[in-house]
Amino acid sequence: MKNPIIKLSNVTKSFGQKIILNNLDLQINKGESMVIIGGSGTGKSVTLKCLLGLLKIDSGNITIFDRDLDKISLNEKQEILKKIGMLFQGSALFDSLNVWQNISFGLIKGKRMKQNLAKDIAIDKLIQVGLKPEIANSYPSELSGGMQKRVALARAVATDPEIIFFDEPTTGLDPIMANVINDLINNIVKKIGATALSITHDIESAKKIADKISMLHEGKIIWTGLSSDLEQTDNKYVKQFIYGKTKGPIEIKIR
Amino acid sequence: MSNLFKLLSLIGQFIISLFVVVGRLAFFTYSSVLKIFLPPIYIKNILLQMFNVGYLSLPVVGLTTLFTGMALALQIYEGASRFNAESTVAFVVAIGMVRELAPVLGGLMVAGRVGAAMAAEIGTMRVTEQIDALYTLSTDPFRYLMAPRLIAGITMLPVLVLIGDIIGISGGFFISTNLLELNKATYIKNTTDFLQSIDVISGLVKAAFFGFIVTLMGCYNGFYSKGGAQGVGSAATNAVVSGSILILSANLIITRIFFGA
Ligand SMILES: Nc1ncnc2c1ncn2[C@@H]1O[C@H](COP(=O)(O)OP(=O)(O)OP(=O)(O)O)[C@@H](O)[C@H]1O
Ligand SMILES: [Mg+2]
Repeated sequence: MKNPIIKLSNVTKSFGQKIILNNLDLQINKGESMVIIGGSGTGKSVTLKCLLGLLKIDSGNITIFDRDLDKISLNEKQEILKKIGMLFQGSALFDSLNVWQNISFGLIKGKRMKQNLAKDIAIDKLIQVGLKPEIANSYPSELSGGMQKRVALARAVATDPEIIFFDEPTTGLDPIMANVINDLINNIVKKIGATALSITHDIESAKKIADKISMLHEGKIIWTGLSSDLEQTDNKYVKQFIYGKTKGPIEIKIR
Repeated sequence: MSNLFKLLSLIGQFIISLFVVVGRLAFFTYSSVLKIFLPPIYIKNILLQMFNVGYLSLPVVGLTTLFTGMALALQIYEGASRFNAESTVAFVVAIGMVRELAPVLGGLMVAGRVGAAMAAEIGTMRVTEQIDALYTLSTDPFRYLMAPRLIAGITMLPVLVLIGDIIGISGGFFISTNLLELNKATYIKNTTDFLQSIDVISGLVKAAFFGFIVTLMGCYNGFYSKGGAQGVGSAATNAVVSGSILILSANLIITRIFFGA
């Protein structure tokens, strides 16, 4: 059996007294598309940030490409990061750079590519996320939220990374555009063979892009299964979540 | 008893947080300074920051030193005339400007202008996750953001202060020879004969240190800012306050090193 490309074991992360991830285990195999679902504020974004080394975990192990994140030098970490793309939930575009400079940032700064070539690739990616090449010279503040999200998506995939993290790729998009993005993600995973870890609240999108789906609740993965199993499961938490019921084992604290 | 315990624990917390801040600042300074010398070096960012720190601060520093030079001439003349020593005005104005007033006032003005802007810009990048995004695009924020700003501060403040020296002395000259009716030729002669290069150089060395302090405080406070708009706002305030206080205390130390007996 081959090793999973991403492996979290017994990962614990807390902010002050508040425990967010509690002995979390998760494995993703190469070429797989995994989607994490879970309630708002359960620590999905925090999980991604721990995986990227942006947040330090309290205990446990994270290995990516068979390297333990805690045991490698900064240079090795940078080499690993070069093979990873990340879409932030809030886009996190550089507001001092225009659209094509944002998209080609990893190509020019990370991979030392020539400007003209990088710009061509940037415009190509722009078209792939359903945006017009004319906006290449606009600045992020001149774009709508959904457009910013798609520029950020283009930036995340511009370097053709081997692993891609998508934090809510379709949130804030209309249903048609959401499907364009679903297809794009599928395309990247199926054709290029990348490994994808996505977070979404959008069950339709999850079913379209996932090979496997995991549900995060109270700091642990409480359910993992094939995306085709999602509807058939008896798991009460999953059922409540995908049908959006207010009554069930997941307590919504409203006063 | 429990009050005493509370007090002790408060003092303890304060001391611990003091150590945390000092350690963090030391780490930040070390990383930023080290990255000035380690490639990749982002030339475009350096030039942009030099333009920002140097060229765009010219009006502020120019006006500050002009008015200060003029006021200084008035004051010194008033004082010197009580001893019938009006001929010393030229020299005292020059030495006051180049040793103290141009570097200190220039440094403080740049702390207000540049330090606050840097803290706000980097702070906004922090709270909108742009700094995290830099990491994920395998670009080191210390090389890409901090090093260019520090280089700009260290190199451009001496240039600004040198220009400020000239403007301040000219302001003093203008007031002395027009309003106070001192002789133009004697005034120039008194300035050039008595002013030594160590006077000017000490001022420029101060300026380089102040440029480092201002940009370091701007970057540091921005980098560790938390929360949203409020956090960025207090980062900007802290950058100016800490920058100014450090400038004034460093000024004393550097003066003492150069001229202390
Ligand atoms: N830097 C931080 N400092 C303190 N607490 C944090 C920080 N980042 C996240 N948290 C807390 O961690 C918890 C999980 O946050 P996270 O952003 O991972 O949620 P999420 O699952 O992505 O939610 P959403 O679906 O709404 O995006 C939240 O309760 C949040 O308050
Ligand atoms: Mg989130």
